[in-house]
Amino acid sequence: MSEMVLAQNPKPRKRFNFRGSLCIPYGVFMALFVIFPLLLILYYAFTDEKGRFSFGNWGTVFSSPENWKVIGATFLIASVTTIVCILIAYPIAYLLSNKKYNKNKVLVYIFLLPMWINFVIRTIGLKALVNAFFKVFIGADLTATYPYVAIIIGMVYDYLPFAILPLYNQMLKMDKNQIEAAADLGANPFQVFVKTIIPMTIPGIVSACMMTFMPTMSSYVIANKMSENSTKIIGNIIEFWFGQSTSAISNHVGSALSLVMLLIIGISLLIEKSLTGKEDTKKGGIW
Amino acid sequence: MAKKNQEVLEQEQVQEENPYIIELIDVCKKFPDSDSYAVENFNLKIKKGEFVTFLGPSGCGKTTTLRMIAGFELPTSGIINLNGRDISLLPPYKRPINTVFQRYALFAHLNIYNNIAFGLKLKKIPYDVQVVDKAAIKDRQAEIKSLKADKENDNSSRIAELNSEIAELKANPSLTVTKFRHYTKAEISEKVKNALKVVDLEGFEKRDISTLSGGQQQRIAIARAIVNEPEILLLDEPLGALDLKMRKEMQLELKEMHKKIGITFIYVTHDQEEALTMSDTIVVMNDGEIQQVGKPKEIYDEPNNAFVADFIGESNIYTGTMAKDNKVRFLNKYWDADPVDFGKFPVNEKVDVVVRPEDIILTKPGNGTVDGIISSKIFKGMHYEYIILVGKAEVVVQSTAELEEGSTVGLKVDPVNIQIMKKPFVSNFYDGYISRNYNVEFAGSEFDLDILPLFPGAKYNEEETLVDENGNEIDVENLEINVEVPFDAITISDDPNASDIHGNIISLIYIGDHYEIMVRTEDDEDFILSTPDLWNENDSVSVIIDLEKVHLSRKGAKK
Repeated sequence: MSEMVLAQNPKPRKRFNFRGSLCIPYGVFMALFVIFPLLLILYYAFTDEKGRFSFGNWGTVFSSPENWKVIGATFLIASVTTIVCILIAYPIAYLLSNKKYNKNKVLVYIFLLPMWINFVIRTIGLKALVNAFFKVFIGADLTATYPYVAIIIGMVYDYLPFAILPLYNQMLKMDKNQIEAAADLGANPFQVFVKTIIPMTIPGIVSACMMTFMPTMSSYVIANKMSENSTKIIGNIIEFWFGQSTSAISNHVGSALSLVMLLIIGISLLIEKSLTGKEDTKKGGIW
Repeated sequence: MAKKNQEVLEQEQVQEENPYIIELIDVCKKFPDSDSYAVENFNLKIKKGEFVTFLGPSGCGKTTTLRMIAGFELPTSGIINLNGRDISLLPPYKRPINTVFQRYALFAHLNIYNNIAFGLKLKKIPYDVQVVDKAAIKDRQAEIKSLKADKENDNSSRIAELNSEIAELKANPSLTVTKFRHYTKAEISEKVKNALKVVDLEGFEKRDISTLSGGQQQRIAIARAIVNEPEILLLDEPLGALDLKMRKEMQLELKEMHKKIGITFIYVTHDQEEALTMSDTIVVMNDGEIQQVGKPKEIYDEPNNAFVADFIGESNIYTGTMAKDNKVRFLNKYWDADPVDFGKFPVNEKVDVVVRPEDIILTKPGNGTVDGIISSKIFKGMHYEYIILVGKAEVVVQSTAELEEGSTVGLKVDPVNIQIMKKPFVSNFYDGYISRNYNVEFAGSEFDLDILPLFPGAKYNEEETLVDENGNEIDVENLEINVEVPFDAITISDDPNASDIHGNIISLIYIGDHYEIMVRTEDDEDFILSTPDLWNENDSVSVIIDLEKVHLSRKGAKK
């Protein structure tokens, strides 16, 4: 009898959710390599060398006028680099996405090829080239006379492919019919560009901005090489605190600086996102 | 003012002389990556207010033609006249023509209002303003100056006169100048509202494109085009993406809209029923060329050739032969021919004969021109559709009478319902030439054909050289010759190794008991053949030529 009952009402057994379990590795990865390090930075930024809660690191960071200058310069360099990259990458991506000019996608590879070469070697090579070129005009090494210009040239050169790729991808997805429709409705080529091509590529522009702004904010090798170590950006200072400084407080100040950089990037991205308005999030890009 | 009136008058005269809003003259289009013409020698005149449909299978050049009218493609040669002015090289944004696209092409980043207002916001409209005639004032001022300089005479009265004239000119702007302005917001809003009313979507201004169904998007696309009041509205298979019921509704609505707004519609479709329902004039196209232009009824009742007959409606098509006494022989019987076809074709000429299924009258066996056996019977609601075997040939007949499968019936047709037309092709003709080793090259391949019959008395000597009767070598290399390959000399196979000539089937027409198939190779050579087997359009096939049946003749020689 009892057996009968059991057969009729099998105990509801919790089934092993295989699909859900596929998330576990990612969860572990995120916890270990994203969340934990962030918490660590937070902890260091708000403690002193004895582990007590303190705002002292922030005092150290912000009391130095040099730090303020460097943060400002970094933001400026990153912004200018991003704008220049977009301005250069946009027409290139447009040409690449046009089958007429890019029959076998060979051109795409040519533009991405520099990325296959070691980043440092590329930058050193560029430095030599830039100096040789500008010597004709200014009679001296550009890297020594105008280090900021040299840094921006270096950043643009290194991060241009990161701007081209998202734009190129977005332009491949562009609805050519809408471009024709705009022309059909009386838009001249310039109006077609402003009224249809740009709106259609906004997700690509946003991605491209992020892909250049974020690394330019944090990179310091390019700044080192392109300014002969004469000019510092945030990355250099952070590197100094974590790498060269022997002070007991060094890791704590470095963490505070890292948080400053994180905040600048975060705020910039928020502004960027609000500028592009109610962009359809499903359409690609990184958001 | 007088001058302006005269201009208007002249314009009206031009319009009176030229009732056609658009004329396409010898328009050809060849795409750079293709060897063949997408559109060839296209000649068409369209009257103002007409509803014209370009009808044809896919790839027939109808959309290319439409795109040339819109300005998205430039013709390789030829003229496109809009109101008598050549616009063939004008960019699309300068043409008073708007298009409804197949996939709507609505702007996803704009709401409905801004989609429809897109063209209006760009448009500049002329308006007249009265301005002060500055030139006339200057003339008078100059005169006053010269009069004042003249000290000998007393010019004061004349100067006063001129001054009063100047004052009058300044007070009354008399010169008419045409300026351009954009529409005001209120005007745009009014027009958008009206356009939405025409397409029956009032109050949708604020909505997003993505919230609309396919049918609604289609209506917005139409509204976006007609709101600009174009002289011609182009519609590129606008109903292709809608389901059948929606399509039928939209067909009637479009027709209604055309009546209401009165602008010229050029409509592209591959759906013959759609074309017959909606159009004033149908242009049937195939393979880049116009096959027939006419009213729907003309095209249906009097097709120009077997292609049109086959494409429009159901038809029985047979190969016939003209006989004496105004008779035509097909299905192994002599039939009375349509009186209008009398004398059009010489006796014994091979012709295509078309009979519509609904035009065949079923009678008792022996009472008709020919007897057949009913091999299949399908109930179609309004009528039965029978397939009747006459010998080996099939005849499709629509009749309201109910008859049993397997029974024998007589068939007769009113002579006016027998359409007789010229066969477009009776054999394949190629330009060939003789190659180095006495082979014949044509249609992009080399064939081992005997060329001796081309040169009476010639023979090969011991060195395998062609010599004439006196033993002199005949130089035949690159000699151009005519090559005729009859339909029955060609067979096709789906085995790619069966021959070196490969192509795709571009058309196939059922002719009574066999199919007439046209195969086009990559080099754009056509082979026409007849076969009892059913193939599909676009099939890749190998073309096998029976060299025994190929006929060669020398250029310039009589056939």
